[in-house]
Amino acid sequence: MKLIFESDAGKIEAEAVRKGSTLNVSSKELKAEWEVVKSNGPATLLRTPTGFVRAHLVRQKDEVFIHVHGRALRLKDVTEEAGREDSSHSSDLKVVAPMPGTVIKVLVEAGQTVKRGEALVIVEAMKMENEVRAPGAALVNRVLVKAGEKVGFGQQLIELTPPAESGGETGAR
Amino acid sequence: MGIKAVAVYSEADYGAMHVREADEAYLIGPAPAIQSYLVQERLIETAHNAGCQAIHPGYGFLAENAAFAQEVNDAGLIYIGSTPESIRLLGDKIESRKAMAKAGVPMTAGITDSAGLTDQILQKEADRIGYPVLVKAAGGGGGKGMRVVNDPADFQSSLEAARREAISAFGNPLVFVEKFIVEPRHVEFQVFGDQHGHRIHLFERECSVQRRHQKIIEESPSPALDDDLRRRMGDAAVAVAEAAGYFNAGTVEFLLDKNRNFYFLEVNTRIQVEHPVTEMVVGVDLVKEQIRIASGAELSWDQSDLRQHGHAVEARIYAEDAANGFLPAPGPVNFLEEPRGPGIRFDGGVETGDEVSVYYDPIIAKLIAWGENRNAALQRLRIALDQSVILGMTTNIEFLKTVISHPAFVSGDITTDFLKQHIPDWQPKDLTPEETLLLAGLASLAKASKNQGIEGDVVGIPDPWQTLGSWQIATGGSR
Repeated sequence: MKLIFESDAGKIEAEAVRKGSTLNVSSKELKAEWEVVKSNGPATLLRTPTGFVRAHLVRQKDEVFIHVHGRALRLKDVTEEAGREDSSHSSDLKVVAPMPGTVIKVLVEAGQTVKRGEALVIVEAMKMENEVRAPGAALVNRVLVKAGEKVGFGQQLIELTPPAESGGETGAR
Repeated sequence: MGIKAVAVYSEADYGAMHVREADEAYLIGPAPAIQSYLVQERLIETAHNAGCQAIHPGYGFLAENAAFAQEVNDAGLIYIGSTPESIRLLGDKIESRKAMAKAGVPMTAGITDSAGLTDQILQKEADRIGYPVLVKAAGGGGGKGMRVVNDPADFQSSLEAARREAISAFGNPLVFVEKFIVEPRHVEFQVFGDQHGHRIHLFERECSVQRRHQKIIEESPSPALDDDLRRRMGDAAVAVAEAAGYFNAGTVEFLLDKNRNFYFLEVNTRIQVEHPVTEMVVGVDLVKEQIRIASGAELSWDQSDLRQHGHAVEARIYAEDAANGFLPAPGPVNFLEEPRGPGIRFDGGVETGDEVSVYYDPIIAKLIAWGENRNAALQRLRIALDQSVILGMTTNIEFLKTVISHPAFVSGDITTDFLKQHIPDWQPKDLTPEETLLLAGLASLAKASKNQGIEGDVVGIPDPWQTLGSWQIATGGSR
């Protein structure tokens, strides 16, 4: 089985083959053979050449949540999307309201370039001001909301496009 | 204590943990708090109908609302807290400064009287105490309606901005100025009083690690205090409670500057989120004591009965995305496993199958670790954070581990600017090739499973329950 997952901590690309209780996994750098000792509900136990590994995992739609070695990861399954040639990164640059709330301030304007993690909009919800940030380096194409506006869950706030590759125009900011 | 507990809930909390734990539970309205948990008449009416004798306001919603305390008393019920008068006095920043100045409690230089506060008087006071100054809302809290002014030229504009925020957040335009303390520690004292005039303190909690005035890590004792400073601050905390005529549980907050001077900040007129660290270090049950006091009993302890033993640290586990501006990340709790071990306490609000809703504060649990000393407590907390399994949403657990493992935190050298200075833009550690391989293997198992969510799927060597086939114990039903 070919696997491509995305997470906050990096991309995962690997090939996994399972026969009975034997699991073979290989990535670009490494490969391994493990025994699946138990995979009963979320609790999972693997036998590796150097010992046993206990993990917990659940799947929810196209996401997999895994807790192993004291660390929880949220993985998004993009195996199929990656298979389709023309799925560009446009969806990755969506800036949406993370929850219902009120727009307090819009910090960017159309035509401006932004860095990954740069604050774009401040949305107030549950009496807390939350910064909605750029998911990656991008050009602000359109601003779709204004201060004072109520927004719903998942509503798009800013339209971003991938940054222009060429040099020259870096913007006078 | 043999007392029955009646819970109230909104539609969003239908069947929630606090509701399941209660002896009785009643619906009080729709999900938005303004239509349920904040509707005073409905709470009191529900208490009456259920035959309650007292109301515990908790630590959110109406927990510091003097008008509510008054309503409860007027309805012939006991309010588990202090008097409406003392709550009102301590809720007003200027009035409480006035009372505490009179009682000789140390505080920052600045305004202590709300009479005739014109812009000119505020400006003159700012010039007198010297910049930087803090412009602050009298009716406020939580960092709203607050401005630091470094340059006299910015004073007027900051004053107006603070006033605007104060109006929108608290409906009260009154602001004042005080000296701004640069890079302070936040050290608070737990105080307790009964209705017979006895008042004591249960030592300090240090809560300097904050994000936008929200506490993240709390501990007791404070690494900054020695016996002498602890005694002086404790005496001041008791003097504050006395000056306000305050009883039941309260917290007196102080700022502590680099030269070990302390300044009265404010009083939280309720039990606090972080009260477990005090319970673990002093060996007491604060909520039980609150109920005893409210019933008219005398305090269980004299000051000389109380000692700090060992060290406790609390970490607040939130459903939020620390790598992305700490955005709340509510979601379903598909699987939750609590950490275990000596000295570990997990005060959780959800279990497997519950949900962290979008309507309220996205806190999942408070994790408290106790040890013989600070290092031992931190070591236990680190292990317990590793053992806390919460699947179905993004949590701040990795971020918390970074904070408590940071060399500056470990050395105890913390101020309210800790995060800004040391961890300004947290991102998770990149996956190692070994982690990537392991996650890929585990993800393939998850992907092959047919079911979603908490059911997971049975793969691999069948467990005995599965080989039993359709045979079921007792009345059965499908698993």
